[in-house]
Amino acid sequence: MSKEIILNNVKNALNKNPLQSNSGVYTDILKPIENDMVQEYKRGQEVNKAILIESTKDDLENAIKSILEKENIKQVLLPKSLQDISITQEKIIYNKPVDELRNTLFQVECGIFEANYGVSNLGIFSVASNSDQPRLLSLITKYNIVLLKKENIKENLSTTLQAYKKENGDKLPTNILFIAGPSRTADIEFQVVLGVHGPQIVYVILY
Amino acid sequence: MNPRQLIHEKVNDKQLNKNLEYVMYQLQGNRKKLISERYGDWEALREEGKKVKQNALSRLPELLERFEKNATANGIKVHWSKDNDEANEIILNIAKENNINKILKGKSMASEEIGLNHYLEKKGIKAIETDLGEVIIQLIGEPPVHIVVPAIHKNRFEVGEIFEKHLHVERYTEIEDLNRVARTYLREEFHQLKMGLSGVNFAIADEGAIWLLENEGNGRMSTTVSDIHVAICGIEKVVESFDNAVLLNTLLIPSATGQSVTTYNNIITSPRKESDLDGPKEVHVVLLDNGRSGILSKKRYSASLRCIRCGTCMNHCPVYHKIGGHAYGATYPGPIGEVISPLLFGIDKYGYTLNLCSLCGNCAEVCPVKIPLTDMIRDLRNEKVKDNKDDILGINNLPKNNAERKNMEIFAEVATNPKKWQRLMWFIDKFAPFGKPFAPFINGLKQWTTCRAYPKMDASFHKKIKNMQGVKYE
Repeated sequence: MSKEIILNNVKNALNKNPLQSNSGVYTDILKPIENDMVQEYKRGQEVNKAILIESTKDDLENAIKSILEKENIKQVLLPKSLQDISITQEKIIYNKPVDELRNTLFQVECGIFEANYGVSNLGIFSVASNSDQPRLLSLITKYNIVLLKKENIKENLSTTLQAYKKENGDKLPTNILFIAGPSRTADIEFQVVLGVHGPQIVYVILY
Repeated sequence: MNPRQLIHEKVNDKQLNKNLEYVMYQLQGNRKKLISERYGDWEALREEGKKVKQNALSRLPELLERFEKNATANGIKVHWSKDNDEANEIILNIAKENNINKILKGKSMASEEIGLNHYLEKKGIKAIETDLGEVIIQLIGEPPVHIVVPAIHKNRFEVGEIFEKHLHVERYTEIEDLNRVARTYLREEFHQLKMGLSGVNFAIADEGAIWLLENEGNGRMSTTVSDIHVAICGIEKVVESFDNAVLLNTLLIPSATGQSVTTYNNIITSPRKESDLDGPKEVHVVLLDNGRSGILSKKRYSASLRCIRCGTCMNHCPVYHKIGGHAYGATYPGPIGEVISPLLFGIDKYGYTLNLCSLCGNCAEVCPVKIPLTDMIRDLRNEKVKDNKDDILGINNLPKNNAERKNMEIFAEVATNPKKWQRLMWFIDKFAPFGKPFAPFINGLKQWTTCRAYPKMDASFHKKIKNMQGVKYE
């Protein structure tokens, strides 16, 4: 069995060359530019090329509507939790396994979903997959509209991951994503182009 | 093409030089600016990063087993491969069992290392790259020129020609258009995708999770819309905790691209659960040794396993700037490549890359996990000529270089005898300027002068000292 061979080789290697070291400790050394955590998140999220809109819980639908109108979006992919939202655009509810929705999913223009957390020091948001919010919502459409509660903004990756662990007991979500904004590449001449295989335009509505 | 010819070709490739020069300075500048403006004590964090990796390596058997246990409990299938043949076979078998004849790949240097594309192609399975840079070079059958920006040697006009020829589209020259061509081409492929492949940036033992970084979304596509996701993971990628990975992530991204964060941080803990609506139904992690345990046994070189593949050593290497990654003839180019290629694949095959170093020390200074690359390169050079050879792979196949040894002996004798040394200096001072026309015929000078100016040799040091006021010359 290769497992035994590899583990033996590694053990023998360490017998021959014993390594010793205490483990390193993570400290957040990013220097904030804004004093307030929410302000710092907003600043960073814009640097990361997402379009940030502030709203209130009551006004959320209107904020979504105005984006959909502005971008002239006809079709929207929604998780079950947002299926009752009142918009005039065609609603596609992501309530079936991907295998049944594949053709549709590859055609939809815009995905809307609720982010679990914002990460202040990096200006990014995080979303975890679950039965309500599948992973492709944040990947497959050209536009994304992301809803984020101000109170869910955490300091950094470390505290956000701790929050996930705490919230989920011992079980972690299948997939945890941290997303900075639109997908991008700099593979040709090191010039940044937005919208490669993921969304090209990402709105974050902070409420 | 032998290595010397290959290097000459690259040195004289004006387009390559121009493209590389521009991008490498950009990468250097972005990193420097970001770290100095936005980060606190970067040097202290480097030290912590070094400790995290060193600690993980010191407990590697325990962490590997813990990773396997936790990943398995999460529903991930963990495989162990001692070498490239075994890793390739495992991946082939997964494809065969599921009747798959095409796989899509996110960026993975480990897959380049094991020659996966070539292997699968021989077995009738097409492996398609999906990272934009990798797409470009796959179309023309070239290996990556850089581990982070693989097609950076090609400019927009060259890419336009490549896409026109291979993807049968009109010739575009704007980068946005080229990006759109790649997006359209791959979207069709993603739509059909059954099996996706990726590398791993960090494997987290405590959580049995893998952490993948990228900007384009191709990695997410390959690992999300597929039914089966296979991740290739070098055994040195295992760390203990989330916080360890966060620390290394903080060091990796600014070093690699001068950003604070990549667009996507994709942490996968399990295949699709019953209640999930998407995600692969199977997730496989192929742990790869392929010579890594051999490196771990070597006191002087085990620290090279700390590498987190950011590529900043090559971004800061003056030699890499001039010749690019292909001149190294190996999967891993640049300073880190000079160290690990001979150790992983044989010093007889890649020992010559050790001479592609000026020992300037830039690489070791910027390495986010403080790998003493310059010391390792110098030590490996020494391995090639010393008497008591260490058991480096392929060391006994090296041809005996008696001339080099003889020359060094002569040098040592002259340099340790003041009379002889003075005589030599006198000789150089008198005759060196006349050597220029003969340089192309004198071994040593010949190689030097083919691509460099004839050196200005000034051996009048003694004379100058003698004439200095207040010096009593004996």
